[in-house]
Amino acid sequence: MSIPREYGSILDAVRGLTWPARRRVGGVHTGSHLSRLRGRAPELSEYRLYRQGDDPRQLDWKLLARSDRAFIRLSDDRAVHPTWLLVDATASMRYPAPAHTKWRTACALAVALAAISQRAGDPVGAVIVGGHGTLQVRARTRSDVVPELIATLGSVEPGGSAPLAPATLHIPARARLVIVSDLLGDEEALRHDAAARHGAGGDVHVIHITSRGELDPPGGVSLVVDPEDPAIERPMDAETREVYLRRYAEWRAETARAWRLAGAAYRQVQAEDDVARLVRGIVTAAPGRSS
Amino acid sequence: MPTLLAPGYLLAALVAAAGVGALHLLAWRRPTPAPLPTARFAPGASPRALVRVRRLNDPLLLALRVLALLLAGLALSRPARTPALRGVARVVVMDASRAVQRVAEVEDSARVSARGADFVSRVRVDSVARLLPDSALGARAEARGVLSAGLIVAVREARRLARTFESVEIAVVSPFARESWDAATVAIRGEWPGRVALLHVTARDSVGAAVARSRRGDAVSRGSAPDTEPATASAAAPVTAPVTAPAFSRRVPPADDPVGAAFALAPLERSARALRVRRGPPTTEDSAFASGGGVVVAWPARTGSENTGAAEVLAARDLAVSGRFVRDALAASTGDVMLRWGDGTAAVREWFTGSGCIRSAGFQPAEVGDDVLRPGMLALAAGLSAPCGDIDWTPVAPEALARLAAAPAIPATRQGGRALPPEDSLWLRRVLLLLTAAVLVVEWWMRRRAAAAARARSRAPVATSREAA
Repeated sequence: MSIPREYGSILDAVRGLTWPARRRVGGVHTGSHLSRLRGRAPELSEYRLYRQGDDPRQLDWKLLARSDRAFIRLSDDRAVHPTWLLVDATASMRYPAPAHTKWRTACALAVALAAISQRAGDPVGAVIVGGHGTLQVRARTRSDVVPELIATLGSVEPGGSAPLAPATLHIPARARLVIVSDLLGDEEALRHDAAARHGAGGDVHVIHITSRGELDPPGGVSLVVDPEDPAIERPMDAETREVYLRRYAEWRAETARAWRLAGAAYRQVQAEDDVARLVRGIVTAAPGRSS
Repeated sequence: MPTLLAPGYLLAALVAAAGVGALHLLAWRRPTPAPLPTARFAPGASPRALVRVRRLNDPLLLALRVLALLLAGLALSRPARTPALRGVARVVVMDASRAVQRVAEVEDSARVSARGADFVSRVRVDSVARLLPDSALGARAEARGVLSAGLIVAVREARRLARTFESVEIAVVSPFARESWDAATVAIRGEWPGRVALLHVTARDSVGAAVARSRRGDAVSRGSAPDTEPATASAAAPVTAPVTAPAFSRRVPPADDPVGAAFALAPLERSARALRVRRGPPTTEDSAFASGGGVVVAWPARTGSENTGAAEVLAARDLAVSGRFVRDALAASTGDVMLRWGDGTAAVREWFTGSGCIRSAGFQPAEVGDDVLRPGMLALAAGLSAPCGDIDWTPVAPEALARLAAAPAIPATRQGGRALPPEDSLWLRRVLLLLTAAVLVVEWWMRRRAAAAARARSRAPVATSREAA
């Protein structure tokens, strides 16, 4: 399966990047992320005195022979971290016309993060929610998952106003959930779900996509219509524009605060920015990178 | 010819129509919808905006509104119609007063003056003026003519005719005796901007008239002899044969009498040739003197006391005198009133007897002071000494006649009937107002229909967006 040209540059740009988990993962399969389990990994971490009940196979017999004391060899296990991408394909992502920059940026981010995760050996899956319904790419570690994701995203035309929160039911609670959305839909329900995942040991990333047209609407007189709810039509002139800018900024600040309080890694990106730089910012800001 | 009596309203309507046209270049338009995912953060307001358009919007509505404005403005500007003027009309003032020698001569002159006219109105003037229904003037009236009254009627009639005829003239056929003339005559003529033609006829002879009246035994021609005529006058008249008054006789009280002093100093050039001024009621001899053509002025007898009198005003037709007088009883209660007090009661009465007359004064001048020597009292004395009936058939001065014939100094546009206002066309105003109302109803209906269409249009983009979504 060939990679479309439009994704070639971003895949090249993110080659070599790693995206460690923000917290120790609970997977049993060996991977690149620190595991909560400490076991028999070849890399020694520390010694501990043998206690009754420990596995005798972990005894360091050479040390016992030298010191006549029984020590247990401990090591940090590394495990895989399944990564799920929840991509918003509702009508609000189809903006601005005709380039649909928000949607294209969301696709590029999803593909880049999927590629980074897949190269780290993590299973990568995706759920795409839009007017067509919910499309799913099963989580796998095979290298063709990225082309499959690209193909799936390419088949999607954003539209409708379907909620995102129900789609999270398909995603394991402890997986790394990456929400790529403009959060203009059921943001509150999605956030509550993210909070529950965080409480359950999951890892949630929110990539809030905005657009220059939303952050700084063009001047003049116009009638703006919400593509997800055509009943919402508001005049936009010099006077109402000031109110709009203030309200939108307040909402973004409040949303960022709420998501962070919910334990999610929140990052607001502008669709017109360089995607490679955005991806680097996302993966390098992860707290688990230092470990 | 159609015209407007209040064109300002039409001008205002034109300005308003221009304003409406300018407003139609501005339109509340629904801006072009543009998708914005974050539209919910914009405040809710009416999705309309005032935009300037290059082409007139709603041209039909604009046409109806402009039409309504113009119709209303035209109705309020009072459209009027000036009738087409053609032809010549003439108003002939025919003097039939006592100053006219022969009525037939007046009729002949009037006929001559009316020659060539398409329409002729005739005004008869004696002591009053009236329009004649036909060309018959009627008999001469033994009364003083009033040319001013005749001119008033003639000017009114000429103005009426000026609405129909292109040219209207006034012609006055009269001997133009002084007695028919007064101070208002020239001023009244000034009210008519057109031409006034003057045609002279022969005036009567004053002496001849008096003689003729005497021969007819016309004892009273204007006023009847008073019922309370003293016995010396009324009772003596049948037994006392009328005597012919001397050619020139003038008897007045002595100069130490205030009345005598006034008459001594008064300008009596135009007084009766036979004049007798006496103190006390007229006697049989006075009646005989008057019957012979003389003028007797009877003043109350002197009381002997030095009365100071009271401030009073006496007024005659062309005379007003203020001074100190003592009111006294009039010797007669009938006869023509020659002089009145300021309150309107009679002060001097005159009645004819034979070919002369007797005048009875009901007041005395003040014995003290110089009131009797003042110009007013002297003019009063001159007036009381005038010939009987105040007959003065001598023609007025040529200068006065020239002023009467001269056209007043007014613009030529007011000549004839052209200066008169056109007739306000009330029915046309009503029709215009009805049309205005009809146009406004149509405009209201069209506006409702346009609003319904706009509502339908405003719903259309929403449906399209929903489909797109």
